[in-house]
Amino acid sequence: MTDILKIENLTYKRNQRLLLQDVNLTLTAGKIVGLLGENGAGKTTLMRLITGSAQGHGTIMVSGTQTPTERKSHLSFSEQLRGFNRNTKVAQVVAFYHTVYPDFDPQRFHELAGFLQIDVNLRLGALSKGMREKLIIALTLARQVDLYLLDEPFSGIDSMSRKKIISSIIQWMPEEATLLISDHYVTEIAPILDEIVVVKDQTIAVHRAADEIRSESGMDIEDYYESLYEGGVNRD
Amino acid sequence: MTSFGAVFKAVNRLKFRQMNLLIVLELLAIVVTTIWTAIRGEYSNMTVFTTAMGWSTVPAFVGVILIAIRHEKVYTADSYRLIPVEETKFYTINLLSSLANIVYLAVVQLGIYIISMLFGWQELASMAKDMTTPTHIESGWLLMGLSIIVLVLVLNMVFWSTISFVHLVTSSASTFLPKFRQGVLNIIVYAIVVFLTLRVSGLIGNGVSWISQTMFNNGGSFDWVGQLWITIFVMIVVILIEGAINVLCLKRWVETDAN
Repeated sequence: MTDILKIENLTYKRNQRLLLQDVNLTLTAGKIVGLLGENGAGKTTLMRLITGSAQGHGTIMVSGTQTPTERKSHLSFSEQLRGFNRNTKVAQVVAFYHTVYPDFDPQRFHELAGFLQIDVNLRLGALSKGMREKLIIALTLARQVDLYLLDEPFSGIDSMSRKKIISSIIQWMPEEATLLISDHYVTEIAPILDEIVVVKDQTIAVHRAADEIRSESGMDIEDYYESLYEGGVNRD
Repeated sequence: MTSFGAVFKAVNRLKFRQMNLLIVLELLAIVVTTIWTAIRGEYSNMTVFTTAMGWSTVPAFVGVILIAIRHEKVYTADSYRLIPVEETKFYTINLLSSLANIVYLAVVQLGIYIISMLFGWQELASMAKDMTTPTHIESGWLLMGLSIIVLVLVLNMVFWSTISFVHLVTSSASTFLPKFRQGVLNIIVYAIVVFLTLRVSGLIGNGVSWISQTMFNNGGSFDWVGQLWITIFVMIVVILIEGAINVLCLKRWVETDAN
């Protein structure tokens, strides 16, 4: 299997505070991987390190490329559109993505937008939290890349929208691509996960296949994840 | 990788829109002031020209500030920093886009001047006849004009480049220093930059008065244009040095605002 993401000995400090240390992780092609951990565990930080938005020490390779500039052309991250004003229209954001990302597929975006019921004539300031999140998902998945990074796509949105987003992920994610999706609620995403990665104690505490967890421990992903915080599972 | 043109278009978009908004507000101000002058019964052929002249300093000043704000936001917003483009190219494009917008604003200002001059053309023509220009200026007006335009543009670039320098250096400090010490460093950097800005402003003020004195009193014997280009050259060197440090900070330490 081709390695889509390979992280070796990654350490990250900010304001002299150690946030991640000795992170090692390899993800292969065609997987949906849940990045789990408590609030503040470092899930977002790890994603930002992969994109090059944060700068750590160690090696990060995406599809065999190492420099942040090269990595950026192989991954799509669910950024929060902070570079745009509130009065920017959704259609203008789409045009921006089409301009700056050669791999952005407008046709694919419009299919996703139709499925997620996004009104492209609205302004960003007029979008509800759920609608904004759907737009971010649609923009992220409309690119044709090897690695998709979705950072907590379900935070603060209703269960119907969550289901819609999960359906869109299943339907539009290319088969050969890998998706890393972070969340601290496991229930919704557990059924679609091939692997889980748990960030705990400033490093990767667990990286296991979902089927392996179910068959070996006899627990579902949610129970297994919760047991890590109760000390009920021997991770060795 | 994203092409130069695509990044320029993306980085330029909001700056350009702000400049257009500024121009619309300026035109509105000119129209309202002119109408108000007419209502008070003080309208003359020169009213539109003097009103346009009066308002023109506002968009020039506000435009430079607005561009500076947008210019800096680009460095810490994921929307821009996730674009697959090398940092040196990204930094250069951002600076060039800011320059292009201020040139655009200046060209529009020139257009507004010309149109407003048409209203009081006869008065302005007779005023021009009465004015006497020293012969050495008359002969070298093209070079003089060009030199001053280049000086103003380079001055704007130094302004943006220095703001980026302060922003990126203080932002980089978060990698090395604890929060308290970072605050102290920020204060020190701000103090140094404010001091340098005041010094440079003083030097520029002295330079401007020296240029006008030399131009009008020296009978053309002094090579003031040459001195002007030396100043421009020094400022370009400053832009290059600050640029090199800024790109290094972007490559190694400056992070975007977290989600």
